[in-house]
Amino acid sequence: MKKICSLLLIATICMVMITACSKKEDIPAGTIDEFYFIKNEGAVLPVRVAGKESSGNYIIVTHGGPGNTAQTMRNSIGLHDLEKNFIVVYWDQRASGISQGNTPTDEISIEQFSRDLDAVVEFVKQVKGATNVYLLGHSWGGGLSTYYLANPENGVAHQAKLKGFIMDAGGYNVVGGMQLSMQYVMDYANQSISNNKDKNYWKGYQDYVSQNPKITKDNFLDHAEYVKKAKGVFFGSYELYSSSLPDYEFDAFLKNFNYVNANMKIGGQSIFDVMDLTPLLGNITLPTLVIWGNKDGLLPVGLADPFYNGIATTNANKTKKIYADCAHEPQTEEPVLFQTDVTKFILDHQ
Amino acid sequence: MKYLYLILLTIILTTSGYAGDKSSYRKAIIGINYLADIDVGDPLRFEPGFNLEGGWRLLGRESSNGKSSSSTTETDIYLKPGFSYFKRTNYYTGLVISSGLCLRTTFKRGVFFEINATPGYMHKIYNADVYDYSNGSFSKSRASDPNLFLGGDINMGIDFSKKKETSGIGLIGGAGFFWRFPNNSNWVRHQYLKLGLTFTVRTKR
Repeated sequence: MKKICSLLLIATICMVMITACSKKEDIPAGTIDEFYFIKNEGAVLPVRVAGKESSGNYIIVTHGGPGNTAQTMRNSIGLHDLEKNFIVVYWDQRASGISQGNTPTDEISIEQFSRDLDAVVEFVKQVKGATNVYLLGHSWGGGLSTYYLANPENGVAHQAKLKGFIMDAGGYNVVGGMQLSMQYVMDYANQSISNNKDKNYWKGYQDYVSQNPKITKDNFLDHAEYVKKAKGVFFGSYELYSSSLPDYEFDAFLKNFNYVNANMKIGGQSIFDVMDLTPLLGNITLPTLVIWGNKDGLLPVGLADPFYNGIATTNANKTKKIYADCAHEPQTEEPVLFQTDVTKFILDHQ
Repeated sequence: MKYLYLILLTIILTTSGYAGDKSSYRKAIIGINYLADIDVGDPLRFEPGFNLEGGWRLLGRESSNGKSSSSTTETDIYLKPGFSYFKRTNYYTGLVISSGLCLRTTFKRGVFFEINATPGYMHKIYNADVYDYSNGSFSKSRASDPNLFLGGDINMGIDFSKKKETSGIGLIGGAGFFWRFPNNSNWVRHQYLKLGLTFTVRTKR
């Protein structure tokens, strides 16, 4: 009996100690780390504002997925280190990450998400008093940002609010990007089979492709797993910061991701079926930095040139950087290059 | 599936002890519990919470093989109103009002097993300043979400008052799940560990 009591007491003390540990990281003098929620059209979007307080330059990070989160992107060294010179704004899109509310499927559209992005831009300008605001769109977030800047309805007005755009391996052409991605994995599979490396697995992929010749909302996550295995998401090794995160719910993260990914639409149709913003790129005249990983298997580097050449920004105001040994996460795989290039771009266009 | 088997096993064990005489006591329970809401992401995290609950006995039976409470097995069904609190920094604070059913079997030496089913209401309050964007401008507001709450746990513990046949304190520990709804039309699952104190009010009929 005494043993049971002792065990229960010890377990209680351990549990209290585990959960009571402070997770707050040290915030160096002169930096801010603030959390807000923006309520817009029924959704409640989390916004973390972190970085050098005296900087007048705000970088809004728009995450990928669709359905992922910007909160964990802060662990990426390339992004986190930008906070030494600028203020970085990490926001979660509607129904994604730790966004709150109950978004119905008909609001899972690039048009709605673009209005949400505009609310974040306005928040940074009106509430935080920013004058120099830059968009950084990664993966799907690059596609969303492209739509925000290039759509004929209000793209020009949106560009007038900003100083620059950083296109970070962005999905502006999902249909073409997925075709390139399948080709990337198929090439990797053929090479692996001829080298007798994971032969059965990659033969399985060939069978899979013969049954699923097109990437759709229903098989995208399967495809993403193959890309990962083919080193198309992370090509080499990488490190992450373990910075503090909001106390998210992992189950909500997963369910949100699946929910948004399966339901994202443009013009009422699945992005996987019809999204190609190439014809709209000529509407973009904003200073732009294009960053891509040469080994990107999810949105391959073949998308970089059409974007760079398609935008109407003058040559003096646009730059393209391709990182050689890097896949889909330049901010994580090449943090030093990434930080250097983004810093230079912002200082050149402030 | 294994959880279902565990629940079924507990029900069978506890209800097998339910046959017997009407209890010779009036009983109620009060509990205060520390909850560690486990998040299974990487890294594994434990978020704090606590729970206050009362237990109003609806039905009670004693095994008929003994003459006094110290030598009987007691099986009781309680109606358990409760209040719980869960905190997630920079996310939300959940305040839960619940009313559950509890089946508890206390053996001769005071060791008990119990199973709870707990429906309730969760009020989710956002843990940061909320700015409402409307007609091109912002206003600061407070915001919260109503959520349905469904939970349940399996616990064991020891009731020190059982042998003495008096009111008294006990220890309780266990594990459980709860779900909140809606989160974009989905139920969000939580799993938690529970450790606490339970006080049994015991009076002779």
